[in-house]
Amino acid sequence: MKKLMLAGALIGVAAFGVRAQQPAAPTPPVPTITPVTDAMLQNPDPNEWLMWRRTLNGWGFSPLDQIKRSNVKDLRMVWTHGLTVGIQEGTPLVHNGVMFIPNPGDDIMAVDAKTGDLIWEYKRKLPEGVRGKTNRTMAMWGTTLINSSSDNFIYALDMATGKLVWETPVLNPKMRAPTSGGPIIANGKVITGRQCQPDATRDSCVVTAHDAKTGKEVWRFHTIPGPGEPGDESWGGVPMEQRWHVGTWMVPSYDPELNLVIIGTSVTIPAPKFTLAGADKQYLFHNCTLALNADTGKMVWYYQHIVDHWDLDHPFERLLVDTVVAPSASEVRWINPKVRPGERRKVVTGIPGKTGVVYTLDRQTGEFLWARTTVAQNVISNIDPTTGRVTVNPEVIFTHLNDERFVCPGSNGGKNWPAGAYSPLTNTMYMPLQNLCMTATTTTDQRDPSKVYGISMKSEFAIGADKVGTVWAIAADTGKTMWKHEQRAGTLSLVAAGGGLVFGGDANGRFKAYDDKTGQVLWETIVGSASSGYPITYSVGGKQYVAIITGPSLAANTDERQTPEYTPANAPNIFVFALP
Amino acid sequence: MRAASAGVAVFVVVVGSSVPAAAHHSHPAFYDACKSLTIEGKIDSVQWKNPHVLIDLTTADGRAYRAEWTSVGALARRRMEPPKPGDSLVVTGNPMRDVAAIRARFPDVKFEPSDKPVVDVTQIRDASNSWNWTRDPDPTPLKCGEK
Repeated sequence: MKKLMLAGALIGVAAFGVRAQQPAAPTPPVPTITPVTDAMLQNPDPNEWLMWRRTLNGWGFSPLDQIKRSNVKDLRMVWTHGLTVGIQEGTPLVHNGVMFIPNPGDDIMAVDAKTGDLIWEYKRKLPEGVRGKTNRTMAMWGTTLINSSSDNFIYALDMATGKLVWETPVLNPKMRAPTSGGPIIANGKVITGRQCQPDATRDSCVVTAHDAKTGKEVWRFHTIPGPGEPGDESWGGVPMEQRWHVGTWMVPSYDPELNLVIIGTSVTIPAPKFTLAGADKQYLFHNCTLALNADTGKMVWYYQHIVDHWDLDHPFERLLVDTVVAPSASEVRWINPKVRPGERRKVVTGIPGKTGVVYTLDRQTGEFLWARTTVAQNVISNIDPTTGRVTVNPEVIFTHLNDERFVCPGSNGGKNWPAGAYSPLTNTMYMPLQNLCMTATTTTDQRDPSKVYGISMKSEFAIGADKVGTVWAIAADTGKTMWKHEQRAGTLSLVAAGGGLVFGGDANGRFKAYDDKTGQVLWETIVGSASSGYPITYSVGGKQYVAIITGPSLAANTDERQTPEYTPANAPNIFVFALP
Repeated sequence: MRAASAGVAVFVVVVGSSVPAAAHHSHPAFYDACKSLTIEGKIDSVQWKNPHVLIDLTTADGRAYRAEWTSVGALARRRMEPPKPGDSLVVTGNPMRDVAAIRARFPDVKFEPSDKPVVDVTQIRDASNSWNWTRDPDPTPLKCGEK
């Protein structure tokens, strides 16, 4: 075959010959990297952003306060950089004045965090037929940047040069079980969850720990129990080879004091339980919060949020908070009678799943403390306040093929992977939630993985709603709604900061700053495409910056279908803002 | 270039790897974007035409396939020229769904199914790696259970 590119290549060689006589382009300086220690990760420098939510407790909070309520209106863009085409749900990380950007498909850029000038770029060569996956975040340890790859490796790059330091296969490279979330570091161990498609089998539904220095595997935990293991009985005799898809596709939290990794799980495939062994079984450990011993991978406790028939996953950020527990009966529907109002507890809180329900559990034991609803939901009819056991609304349980049900929220949430934030200054969590439901219809009555979840899903507004996006501010102690922001465009990830601000964008290419006490929008700018990434704030040379990655994402695209008047672009970029 | 006489490695692997479907040319009702098929074989014929370029090829063990590529215009913009019969290619794509299922869903749509399995091309390259083409990622990929 002849190809014009060949001619192009020859012209390129000729041009290079001419260029060679000109001064060589300066190469970017190799940055000096201070080794990142576990102590640094467990108490990070406020100026830096070393991991997904900045801290291991999943907060998405920065103490930086140079940008504050009184001056945020003066923010302006200081630099921008184009990113690789594809799904943009990335978190930039910042260390030693260098920003590390995860692009889709294991394309990683290191840029100067003050200017966006490229320092190095790493592009992983993937096996034929393996598509680059969504890349939400990476981790740091020592002088390495650690990521999980589209071909099922865990790998470490030298932060100064972008050169590969080690890589370890976790699963067969072609298995459809990559990590779209990303790792965190728990005392020198790289903890990673993953999604796991049916063709990758039950064996791929694992949480793993690898030595951060060498990449050697330390343990792996199966989210679907093996024969005879605790939880096996909860599948009602469904054959092992038909137990699929209990993934851990978002990023865990870690409590160094209790040495617990806290991670959430997803729905099964198929989702409707009449195609498995009936709606009365639990199918552990789907849609659970799991607490794993970080040294051994042994499960310390679990709590199941709901038996899921509709793809209402529960893998999202777990907020590890030490707080007074005083749930207000006026807004909190389910309160454990054993809670002594006003007592201080170590809790796991937040909105772990697509239902939009806030759950607060004891972090040491998993004991249910309280739960409340937010956006419209009709999947939970009750939670036993003493045991925390959830009763599913029988009106939305499928029983046969072509069974149509109106389900709230829809499979886009409610809540989804866009993260909420928690501010210790207000003891309040800020949650991006969507007013969406769905009409869901079963497409098979068999265990047929080619039908994926076994339901078709048509996204619709919640009854009476005409605004997709919301931000809810909910007090972590009382569970009360402190404020609520609503808007037509769907809302995306948030970050809270010391200046009394919450930053976050939307599906219509806007990026905003909210007053953390009132929800008032104090600043807004146009970034052109959906603010799909996880915003961060950091400081270099005494100047505070705010960064957001923009571009398409599944959540933003679903939101946009309800708001046809908005036509954001799909351009992938990072935008960075600062005061003049 | 790898000589055909050296024995072209032939493999047909169905992996579940999801490759996004370009909305303009491969309706998900026709092709299963949640499955990916990789074929290595020799070209029997090339139809360099719109709306889609069609390449018929046969693997070393005698199995025939049709690769449905993109439009002539889209390939021209990427400076691609027609491959020649006899060349060896490695084609990755989404397999066509069961014809009866397509007809049941779209009884009014007229289409003449090929007598051989058809793949909607997502990646294609010369077996000797002298050139390659990859479809642009779809900003709104189908949901194949991926999160």
